[in-house]
Amino acid sequence: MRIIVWQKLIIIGFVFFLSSCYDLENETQLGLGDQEYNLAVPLINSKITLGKIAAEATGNTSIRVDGDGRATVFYNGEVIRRSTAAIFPPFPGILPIPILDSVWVQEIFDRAKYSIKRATFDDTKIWFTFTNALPEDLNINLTIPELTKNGIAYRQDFVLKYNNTSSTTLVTEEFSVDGWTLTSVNNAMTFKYQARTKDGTPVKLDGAQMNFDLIKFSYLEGYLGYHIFPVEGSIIDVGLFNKWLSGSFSFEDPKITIRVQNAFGLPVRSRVNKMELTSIAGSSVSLESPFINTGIDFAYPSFSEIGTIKTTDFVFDKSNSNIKEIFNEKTKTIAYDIVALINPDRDTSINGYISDGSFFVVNVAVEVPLNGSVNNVVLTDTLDLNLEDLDDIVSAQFKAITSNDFPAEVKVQAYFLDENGQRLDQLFNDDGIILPPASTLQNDTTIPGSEKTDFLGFDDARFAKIKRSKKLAIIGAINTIDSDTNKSWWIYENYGIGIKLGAIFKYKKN
Amino acid sequence: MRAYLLVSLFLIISIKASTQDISLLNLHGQLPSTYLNPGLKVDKKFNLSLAGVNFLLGTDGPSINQLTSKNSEGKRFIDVKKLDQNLDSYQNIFFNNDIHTIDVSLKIGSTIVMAGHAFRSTANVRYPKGLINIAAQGNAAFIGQTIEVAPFIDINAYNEIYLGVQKSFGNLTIGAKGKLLYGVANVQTDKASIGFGTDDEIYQLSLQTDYELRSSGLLRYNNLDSITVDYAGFSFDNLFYNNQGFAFDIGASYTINEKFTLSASMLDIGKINWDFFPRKYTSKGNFTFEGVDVLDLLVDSTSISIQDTLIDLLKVTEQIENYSTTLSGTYTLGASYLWGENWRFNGLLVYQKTNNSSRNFLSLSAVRKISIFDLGVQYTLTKNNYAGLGIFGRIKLGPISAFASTDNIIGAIKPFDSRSASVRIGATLQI
Repeated sequence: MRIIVWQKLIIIGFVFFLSSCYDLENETQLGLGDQEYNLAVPLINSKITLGKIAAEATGNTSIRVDGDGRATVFYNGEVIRRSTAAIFPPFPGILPIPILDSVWVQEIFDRAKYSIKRATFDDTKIWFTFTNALPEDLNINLTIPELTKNGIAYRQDFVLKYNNTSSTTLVTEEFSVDGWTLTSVNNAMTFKYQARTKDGTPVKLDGAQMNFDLIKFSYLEGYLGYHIFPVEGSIIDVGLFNKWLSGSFSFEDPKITIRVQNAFGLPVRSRVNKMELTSIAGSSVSLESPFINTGIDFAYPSFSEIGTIKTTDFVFDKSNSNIKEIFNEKTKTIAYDIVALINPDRDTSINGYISDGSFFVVNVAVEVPLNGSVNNVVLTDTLDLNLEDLDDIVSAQFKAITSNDFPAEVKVQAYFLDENGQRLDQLFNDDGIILPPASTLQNDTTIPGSEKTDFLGFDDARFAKIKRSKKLAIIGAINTIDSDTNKSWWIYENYGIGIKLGAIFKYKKN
Repeated sequence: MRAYLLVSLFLIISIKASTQDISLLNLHGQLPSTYLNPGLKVDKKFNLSLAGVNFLLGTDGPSINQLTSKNSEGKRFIDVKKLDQNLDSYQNIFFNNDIHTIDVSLKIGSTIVMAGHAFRSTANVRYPKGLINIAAQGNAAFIGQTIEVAPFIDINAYNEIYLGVQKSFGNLTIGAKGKLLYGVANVQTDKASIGFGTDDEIYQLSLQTDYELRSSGLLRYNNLDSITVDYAGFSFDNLFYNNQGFAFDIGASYTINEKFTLSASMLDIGKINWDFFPRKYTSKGNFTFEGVDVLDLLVDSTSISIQDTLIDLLKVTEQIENYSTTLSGTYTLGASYLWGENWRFNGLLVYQKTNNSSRNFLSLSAVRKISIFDLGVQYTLTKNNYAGLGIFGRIKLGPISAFASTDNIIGAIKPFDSRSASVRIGATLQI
C-alpha cells in the first residue's frame, strides 16, 4: 500500500515537473528594451568642391574648368534646328504633270523663288499614263533629256495595246528615279515621246501624263530661295540668383555666345531682334550692342566642303555690349527674339547647295566666369521637413566639423518652422555657424581652410519641439574678402566646403 | 500510471529534449548505458529501448534571466543594468537534443550485438562579450574603439543508424559501434572575426571582417536584415541520399571486483560530408560607412536611407562548395561502486570537443534502490556552473522499466534562472 502511494506521488510530481516547462516560443521572443540606447552614427561627410559639382552636372548647365583650374558656369540651350526639309520640303504627287505634246517642257520649280541648277531625286517613284483612240496597238518611246544617271538620259519604251474599245489607256508600272539628276537651266523638265503604229506611222497621243508619289531630293544646287526662321523664347533660366535675398554680386566678364553650326552650303545670317534680360527684381534690360541691329553672318561650307559643318561663335561680352552691367543686376531669365535668315541678301547669283543630311543649329550659351566679388549676399531656401520617423529619438547631440577653402566668409543658419511658418527653434547656436575665409596667397589663391568643430545639443525638450517642424528655412550669407572695394577673386575647381556631421542619438522604443 | 507515463513522454518530446550524462551510468546493465560507453556491460539476452529522449540546454555564461529582462510587450532584451563587466571574452550557449527512437541488443553466445536509430542534434553558439555590450546599450559607449562582435555558430542535426558489438574477456568488457550518418542540417563557422569600430571624429562606422560560415539545409543569408533559418527539428530529410558520414564509438569497462567498476569511452569519432546545397558564406575586408555625401543627395532624387546603407555595409559572398564537419567527439571516464545491497555510487568525467569550443564536466551520483524504484541524486560541476544538483528516478515492473532524470532540478523548474537545464527519459524492455 505504501509503495503504491509513493508511486502515485512520484508520477504526479513528474508530470507537474514536466508541465512546468516553459512556452519556449514566447519566452525567447526578442525585442528592444524599454531602456535608452545611445547610438553614434555618421550623417554627412562631404567635401563639396567645384570640381565635384562640375563632374556631377547634367542637363544644360555645366561648370567648365580651364587649364589653370579656374571655373566658369555655362548654360547652353539649343534654340533652333532646321534640316533640309525646312528649306525644300518634299511635295506629294497630288496632281500629275501633263504631257500635252510629243515635245513638252514643264516647269518643275517656281522661277520666282528658285533657280535650281542640279537636283538629285531621292526616294521618288514615277509612272506614266497614255491614252489612244486609234483601233490598233501603238509603240511609245519616252525620253527626258535633262534627267540623267551616269551620263545617260532617261528613256522608257511602252506598248499601248488596242483592246477593242473606243479609247485605250495604259498605266505603266512604277519606276524609281532615286539617284537620277535633273540638270536644268530654267527649272524645267522636257518630255519627248514618239508614238508609232505597227507600220511606223507617227501619231499624237490623245492623252499623256507623268505621275509621282512624292518628289524629294537628296541634293539641290543653285539659288535655293530666301528663307526666314523666327525664333522667340525665354527658355534660358540662369537660376544663379533664384534664392537671393540681399547683397550684390560683381562678375568680371560674363558672356552670351551665339553659336551656329551650319552644314548648308548657303549663306546664313542671324539677326538678334531682341535679347532682354530680366532681373530677380522683375525689371527688364535689353542687351545693347552694335551687332544687335546689323546681324551676324555665319560661315557656310563651300562646294569642296560638302558634308562638313561650319561653326561660328559670336560672343556678346563687355567689349561689345552692356552685358556686365546687366549681369550685375542679378539676371534671372534671358528672353530672346532671334531670326535666322537663309540667303539674307536675296542674291540669285549665289550658287549654293543643300543635301539630305544638311542642317543648321543655333545655340545660345550664357557663360559666367567665376571671377568677381560677392558683397554680403544672403541666400535663402525653405525645405519641406518630416521628422515623424524620429519618434523614437529622445535627444541628440550633433558634432559638426566644417572647413572653407573659399576667399569668402560663409555664415549658415537654419530655422525649424511649423506648418504656419512660425519659428520653433534654430539648428545652430547664436547667429549660426560661421566659416571664416581661407587664408590667401600673393597670387590671389587660397590655401585649404582648417577644420572647425562645433557641438550642437538637442536635449529632450528641444528635440520634442523640433519633431513638430514641417519646414526648414536655411539662410546663408557670403562675403568675399575686400568685397567693399569690389576686389575680384577667381574661384578654382579645388575650392570647396567641407561638412562632416555625426550624431549621438538617444533612442528609446515607444 | 501508463497514462501518466504517456503524457510525460509526450510533454518531453514536444519540448524537444539531451547527451552523455551520469544518469546513463545509473542505468548500468541496460541498453541506454551504451550511449555513454558501448563497453558497459548489458545484462540479459534481449534488450529493447524505446523513445529515449535527451534534452540539454546550457551556458557557461550568464543565465537568460541574468542577462535579459522583458519589455512591456513581453519580449526579452539584453538589459544594460544586468550587464556583468566581468564576463569572459566569449561565452557559449550549448544545446543537445537526442531522440533514440529504437535500440535493440541480442546476446549471441558470448557476444552482444546492438543496433539502433537516433536523431541527434547539437548546437553551440559562442558569442563575444562585445556583441552583448553593444546590443545592450548601443555603440556610443565605445566611440574610438573596435569591438569584436562575431559569433561562432555551430549546429549539427543528423540521423544515426548503428550496429555494434560487445564482448567480455574475463573482467574486461569491450564494445564498439559503427554508425552510418545522414546529415539533416548544418551550420559551421570556420572563421569568426568582425571588428565593429566607431571612430571618434564623427562616429564613422567600420567593419573589419574575416568571417566564414558554411551551411547545408538550414541557413540562407541575403543581408543583415534578411537571414532565413529553416530548422524542422526531428526529420528524416536526406536519409540514405545526401550528407553521408561515418562515425564510431568505442569503450571498455573493467570490473575490479563485484562492487567496483571502471570505464572509459570515446564517442562520436567521425565526420559528415555535406553535399546537399552546401553554401559557403564569406566576408573578408574592411567596410566603412563615413556618412552620406551631400552631392549624392543632390544628384540622386531618391532618398538615401542610412539604415539601409548600414544593413548593406557588410559584403558577403555566397558559393556552393561541399564540405565536411567532424562530430563533437566525446571522451569519458567513469567509475561505479555498489555499497551494500541498495546503494550505488557513480562518478563520471566528460570532455567534449566541438568545432569552436570545448566543454568538460564532472558528475557524481548516488542511487538508492527502494522496491521497484531506483531513486537518486546527482551533482554536476562544470565551468561557471556549480549549481548542477539533479535527480534520477527509475521504475522497474518486471522486464519493463522507465526512467527519467535531470542534472539540474532547479534548471528544469526555472530554466531561465539557471545555467543549465536537462531532461532525459526512456523506457526499456529486458528479457
